[in-house]
Amino acid sequence: MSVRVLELYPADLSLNGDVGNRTALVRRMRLAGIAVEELSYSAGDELPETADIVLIGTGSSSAVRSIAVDVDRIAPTLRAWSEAGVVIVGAGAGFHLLSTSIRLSATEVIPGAGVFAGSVDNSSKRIITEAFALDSDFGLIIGTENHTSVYTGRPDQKALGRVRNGFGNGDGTDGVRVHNSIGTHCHGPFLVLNPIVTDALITIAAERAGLSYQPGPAHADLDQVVDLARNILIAKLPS
Amino acid sequence: MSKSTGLHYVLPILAGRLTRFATRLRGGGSALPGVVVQKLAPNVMRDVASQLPYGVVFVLGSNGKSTTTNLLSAVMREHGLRVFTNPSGANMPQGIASAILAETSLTGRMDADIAILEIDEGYGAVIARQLKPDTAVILNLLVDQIYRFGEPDKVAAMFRGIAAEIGSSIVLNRDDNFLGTLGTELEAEGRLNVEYFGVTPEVQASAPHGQVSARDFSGAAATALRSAVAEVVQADGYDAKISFAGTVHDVRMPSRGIHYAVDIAAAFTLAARNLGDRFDIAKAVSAVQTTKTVYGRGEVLHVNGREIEILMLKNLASLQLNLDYLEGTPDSVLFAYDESSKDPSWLYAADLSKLDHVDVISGPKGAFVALRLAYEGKDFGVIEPDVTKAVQRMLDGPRPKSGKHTFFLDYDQMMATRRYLGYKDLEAGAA
Repeated sequence: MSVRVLELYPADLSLNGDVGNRTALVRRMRLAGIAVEELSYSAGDELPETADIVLIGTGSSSAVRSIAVDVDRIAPTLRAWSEAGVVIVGAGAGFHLLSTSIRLSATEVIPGAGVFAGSVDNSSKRIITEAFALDSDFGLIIGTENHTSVYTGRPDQKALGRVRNGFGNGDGTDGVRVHNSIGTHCHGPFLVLNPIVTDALITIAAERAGLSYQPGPAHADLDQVVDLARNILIAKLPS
Repeated sequence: MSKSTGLHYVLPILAGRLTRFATRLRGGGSALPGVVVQKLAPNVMRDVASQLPYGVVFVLGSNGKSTTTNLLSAVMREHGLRVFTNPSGANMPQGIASAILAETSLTGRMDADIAILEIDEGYGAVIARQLKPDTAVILNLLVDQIYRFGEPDKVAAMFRGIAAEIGSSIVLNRDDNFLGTLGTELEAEGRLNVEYFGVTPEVQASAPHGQVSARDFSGAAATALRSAVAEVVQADGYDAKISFAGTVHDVRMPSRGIHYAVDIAAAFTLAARNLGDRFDIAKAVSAVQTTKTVYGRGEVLHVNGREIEILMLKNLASLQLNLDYLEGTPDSVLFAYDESSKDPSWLYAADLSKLDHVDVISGPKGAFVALRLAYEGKDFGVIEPDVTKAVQRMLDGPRPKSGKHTFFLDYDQMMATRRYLGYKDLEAGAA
């Protein structure tokens, strides 16, 4: 038995080292003795039958525009997976592509996959926050945000967290959580800098695959280095 | 032209000189004198530049600006031209103004035939409006400074804006995604003479990660195979073969890799355009082969009988290309990362398979490099945030079998390292 990690559009949505999210998941699972199968999906491919964890990363507006048609094509499968409890993580443009619609300019709106019920206006001024921080149910989430968007969620869908430093969705919250799917403006990459989220998602995915995830001493060693990097960003937060 | 130079510049230039002197005494930066002159005589830059018989050349691109400026200056000097150039890295408006000021007489004259200037893309259009460059070369558009620019498309728009200010000719990297598109636009517009440099498809395919050019999603990708004035037909370690006017020339390069060879092809193409019939490829090859590397870009320092090679760690492309062209697995490695380099997330896109370990990690953001290595399962010895202590630690350690230390340094760490090792030649010039 293994956990299947599927990365969507890795050649298109990889502006901020997004493959790092996969690296973090795979490394942590393998250190815990869990077998991992790594898969990639590009526009025009056939999706695999199933996946346990699906990743979709950050990218430019032009990249979003160029893959929008393909996202629309696979949207029903992504929605079905999310509803069934598959772990899906979208960061930046990937988060936006999982929403219902993305406004790219005054005259251009493209549909998203509809995994999340909110909509995105991606024509706002650019927001860049080096030490982007959220208070979430997982704990303090930290990373960087760099986008031009406002996300308007639906009241029945929970945000990922409250913004402690930065802009996020534009209403004091950031991201969204539906079933086991997460969208966020946090990169750095997100799952590299926030193992508390990474471990929670692995636990869910492993259980769904009939496996048990137990972090050990190797994870503790790794997390000491994670903390060194996190602390650099935490030190930049306004007190 | 005579009315644009003369006595009315004495006062502003004198004021700038005094400011320059004062900031030197204080040990401060060299940008302030430029500010003073600009305030007192805003046209001084344009008027000084307009006297140069071979005009002003802009060297642009995400990576390789300093190296190409250096190579192009050497080629022009070999042809007997007196070259004015800005110190490496002093590529923003006030740094350039300061550099020009330092070489300008009190009556607003510069003792040079040509100005070859590396220019920051973010300020290029503004500087171009002042200096009225006739020619420009754009080396590449890479994923770079996303924290500053947001996305590569923004940089493409900047290059487009700069191209609109160029007087007569532009030289572009044929094989770069965004620049191929820009070339198509400029050719259609027909105002500028557009020429290209490039690498053969075979060279491109044999490079482990190509030129790490940013993706252009506009769909306007250049499909026609354009001819290149200078084309890299081989790049192997320090040895390149570059085709020019139907003949292939062997070039022993000052540093390694396809990126270095491409910079040389760019310099040849631009020099041939600017010099016309005066251009002599034999002189150009000779100039390149006898040029020293720019500091910190493949530069080799000699300390206590050991060699230290400094490679730039600036963005994904510089790290990846410098890794790709290492000679084997380096046995003694230091990495140091700057505070001013925001958002190191790109480190995860790098292929680190050329490294089997790192000895010392340094710099205020060294922990991000350490974390990247930790996730890869690669050993790193220690994290020592102070780069001078980190360098000393390397030198105090056993002599590497290869006799050579390999330092991957971010900009500020590179400056501090050179200073610490007694290479103080940058103190006067750098902005």
